[in-house]
Amino acid sequence: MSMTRTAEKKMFNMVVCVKQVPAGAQAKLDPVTKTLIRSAGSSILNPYDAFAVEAALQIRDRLAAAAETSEAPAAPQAAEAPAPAQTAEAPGISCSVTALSMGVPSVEKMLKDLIARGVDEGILLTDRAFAGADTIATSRSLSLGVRQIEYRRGSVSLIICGHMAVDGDTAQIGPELAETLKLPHVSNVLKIVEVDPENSFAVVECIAAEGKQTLRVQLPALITVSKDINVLRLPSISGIRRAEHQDVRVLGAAELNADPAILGKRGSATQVVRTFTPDFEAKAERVTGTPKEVAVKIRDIIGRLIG
Amino acid sequence: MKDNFRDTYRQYLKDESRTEGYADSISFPKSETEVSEDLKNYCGRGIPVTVQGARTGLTGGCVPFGGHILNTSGLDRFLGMELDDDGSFLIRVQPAVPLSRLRTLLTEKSLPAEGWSQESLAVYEQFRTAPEQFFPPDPTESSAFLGGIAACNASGSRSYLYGPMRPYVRALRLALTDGDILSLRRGECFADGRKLSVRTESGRTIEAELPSYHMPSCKNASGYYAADNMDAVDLIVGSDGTLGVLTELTLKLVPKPKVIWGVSVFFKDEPMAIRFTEALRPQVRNAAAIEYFDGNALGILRNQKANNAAFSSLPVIPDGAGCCIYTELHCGSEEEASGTLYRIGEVLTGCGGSEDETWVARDEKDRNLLIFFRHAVPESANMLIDVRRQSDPSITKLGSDMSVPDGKLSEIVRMYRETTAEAGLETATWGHIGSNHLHVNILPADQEDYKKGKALFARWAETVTSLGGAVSAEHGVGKIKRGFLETMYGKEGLREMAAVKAAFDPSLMLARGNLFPEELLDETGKGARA
Repeated sequence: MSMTRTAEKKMFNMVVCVKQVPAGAQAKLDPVTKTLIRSAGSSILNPYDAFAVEAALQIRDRLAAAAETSEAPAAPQAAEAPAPAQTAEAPGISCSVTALSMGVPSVEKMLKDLIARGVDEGILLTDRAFAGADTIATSRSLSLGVRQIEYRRGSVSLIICGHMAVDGDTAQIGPELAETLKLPHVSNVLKIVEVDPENSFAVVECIAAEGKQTLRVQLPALITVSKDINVLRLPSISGIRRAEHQDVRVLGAAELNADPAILGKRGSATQVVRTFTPDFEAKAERVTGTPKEVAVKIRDIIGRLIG
Repeated sequence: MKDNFRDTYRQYLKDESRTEGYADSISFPKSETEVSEDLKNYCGRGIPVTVQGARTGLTGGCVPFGGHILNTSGLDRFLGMELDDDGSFLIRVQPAVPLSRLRTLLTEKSLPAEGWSQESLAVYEQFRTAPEQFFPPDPTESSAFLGGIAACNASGSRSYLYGPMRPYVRALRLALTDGDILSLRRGECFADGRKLSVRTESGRTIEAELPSYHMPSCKNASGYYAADNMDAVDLIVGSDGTLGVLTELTLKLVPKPKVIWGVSVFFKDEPMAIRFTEALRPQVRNAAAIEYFDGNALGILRNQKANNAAFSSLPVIPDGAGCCIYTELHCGSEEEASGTLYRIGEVLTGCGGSEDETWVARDEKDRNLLIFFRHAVPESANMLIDVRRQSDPSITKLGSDMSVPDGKLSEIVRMYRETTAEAGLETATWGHIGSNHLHVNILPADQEDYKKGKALFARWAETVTSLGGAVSAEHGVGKIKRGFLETMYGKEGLREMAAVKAAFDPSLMLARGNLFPEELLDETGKGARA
């Protein structure tokens, strides 16, 4: 009986693109390649991506809860609390959240942490062929990752990215990935108002040039989310247990059947000519004297600063 | 003149207990010599002197009721480093270094070492290349001065593993009311039974008969520490500023654990949380803190998250959660931490909780989130009371600070619940459940509730004493809780304590109102003169 019900279930697969970035002010640049040294210092999940992950988990929770209340359970409810971190198996809908990242092998640990927080699986694209990619080459790699997920899980209905990565600040990956996959996309989403898998649309509120805009977008689609729209949930003990026993799928260019010519540095349309770390120098100077003397000294300081 | 003083120095007339007093003068000495001169000058002339630091105390200990205020905030220098006999790093500071500053500088390994001796600088170089060190006592209010923390033997949540301030004080210098200095180093001066004899720098011998009472076998910051053959340092720590003014502290540092994880678990009701605590304690050796938040505390936080933007980043408390226990693990490796985490999960499941409804903080960002959660509770309760004070300024939050020995937790919590329900009082309870030490906070709506609450605390002091507990576990006694001290040690115990005070401070002018009722000091003074 459950087999029959599973077969009738609507699939709602979500993908969240995540990136590992240097923690705080620890970014170091390679003087030769002009790119970030990703092995240096400690790394964290890009803060914008944390909001994207939580947004996807909340959609999954919401859809599961809505499906549960709209359909009478076929069997008596179990006494235990439902395991929220697993693929939501509510009657009528099967939701999943996959975290997808491109990066160095150590990103696997970050993806495991996301599994502990509730995502269903983690996929890491790692290969020398991906290295040195600009945003267009990165979005091509990610698009191949999305295709892999679809191959295994069925079609992806919603891709969520953080608005931007704090180490690059381009905010290009989301829209470029959407264009590569030929999906409609909405940037800088503040609120996911509604997701309707049955009728394949979502309603989102996003930042517009002047104020906010509410948009209805056809699914499948890609959205990028703005900052501070939620708080990423913490891992649970059961989530950590699950993550410990669940492998992150690590895929190279070969597994993606990728043409190396369109990936990594070779496939990049742009090239970094020069990079530098801006110097921030804050100095304080105590100015004393009579009001007139103080005024003259302040004038001199301003004159010195503006050259 | 008095009004003038009050207007200019009003902030120095109160502490975090919201007790407000009055004074005639204030000084901000910048050196030990200036402290000595002030003490000699004022106490010698029979003018009461109240010592104060950051004024973060919760017992009115630094609130003056007449006389002179000696504010130590000018004594905020780092003086040097040395190595303890066991190779631990020791740091020598003046009393007004805030805990938060010590923590930051230890993490950054960047201490202000200008003017240090060659020996100190050599140890400092070792410290800079050694694994990160930390200072375990962690009272919630990290702007507290180290001198104040020593004066009331404060502890904080991590005292479950590391103990209170007392053992971390390896040496101290104490300015006495006659202008003399007492310098003590742990391990060098012990009582003979209960007879203590110490020699000051000028060569004067102070002899004191230590109180005959027995210390409770639980967390305790109530009155003078007294035990057979005890170290003299232990008497000074926790003496609520009544024996002298701390001018230097030498504090022990310990290596920071490699892995620190925080785990919050939720229960439907309080008895489940108590069962969990009692089951967890013998099974988990590397828990630094086991903290509790009851349903009303969670309710206050839910309300704050929903209605106050400053608290919007609080994690979402699971629906149906009736209370929460936070455990902080200090481990040598991630494997050790995982093993302990799974053990916690098993105990939790055994007590009817769910591993799904748990929060595990394994990185700094998540740990800070749980610390924010923990600190948001008292902060929010204070905000709630501040709103109520607008209609009745005479009320304050009433926070209990009593602890009981292991095995008495259920009994004391049942008593708290029954008596507050009988009195019809609103409460929010949180605190150090691992040490059987809960802060039951009565949130009075009006003056009548406030009076009822105060009367309840006096009853609780009796019950806690009968269970072998302590009337003050970590806040000290100060002025607010001195009535409970008599309940705990009896009149004779108080008289014995007052005799110790008189030996150190024959003027009886220092920190008047702390620990002892005025009448007892007057009586002690007359006895000494006779």
